[in-house]
Amino acid sequence: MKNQNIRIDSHLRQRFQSELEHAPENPWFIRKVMNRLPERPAGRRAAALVRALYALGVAALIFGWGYAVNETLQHGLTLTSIILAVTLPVTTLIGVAVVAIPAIRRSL
Amino acid sequence: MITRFDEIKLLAQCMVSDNREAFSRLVEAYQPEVKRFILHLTGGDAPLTDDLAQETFIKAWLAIRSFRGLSGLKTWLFRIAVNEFVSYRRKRHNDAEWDVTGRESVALADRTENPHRSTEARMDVATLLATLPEQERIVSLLFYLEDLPLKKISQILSMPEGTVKSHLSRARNHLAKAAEVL
Repeated sequence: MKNQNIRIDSHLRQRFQSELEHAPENPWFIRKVMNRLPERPAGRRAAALVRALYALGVAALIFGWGYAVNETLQHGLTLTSIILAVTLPVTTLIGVAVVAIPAIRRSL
Repeated sequence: MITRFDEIKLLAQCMVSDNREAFSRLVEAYQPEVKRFILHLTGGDAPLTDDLAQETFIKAWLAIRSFRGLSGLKTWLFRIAVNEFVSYRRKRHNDAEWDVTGRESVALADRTENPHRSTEARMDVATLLATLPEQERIVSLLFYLEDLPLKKISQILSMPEGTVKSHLSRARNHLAKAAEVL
């Protein structure tokens, strides 16, 4: 019985897949869907979270730069000040390139 | 066709930043399968298929943040498509203008006059499908046409695997008998 079912399934699958056609091509389908997409109200909460994370990032960078300048002025060239001198400019540049510039572009 | 990695990347862009461009790429990738499935659910009604497929993708966009990724995007889209189809059928329950079995009966009558073998073969499978009850038709399409395993079908239809097996068993018997007759 099981073998018979497997045989029937295989036969039906082959017929379904070879004989049932695809839907007719509609070149406007994707555009129609995209034009009908509504705004998502739930996005506001996520946007607020993203803004809070950006603010936290900016505050961390300001604190980092302040700490680095203070460390260098007080103790001269130490291992900490060298590490900060390398990591802070890189982090700042990445932040500006990945977050700030695209955000400014979007707002224009 | 997109890779699994691209799919995850596009989904993340849709969820985090409401990226419509990313969503349009997902629509482009999945619309042929979703539309073919709906086309045969509706008995070959192309305009209705377009409408239901559009609704499916719009619902997916609105609910994309609730998508947990446990079942795969295709399974999730098929689940939405089935819900759209069932709710459409409920709305039109007493409407005589939409009747798959009726339309396919006309197609069956036409088929006898059509000398082309390929057209005849297509009619046969479509006609067989139209003779099945709704649940059995949905299970047959998911199992035979989309080649989905029983577990995924049970997720799409929100029913136990045993119930899916019962529907499939009845559909198999019906299709096997009818295929011999036709």
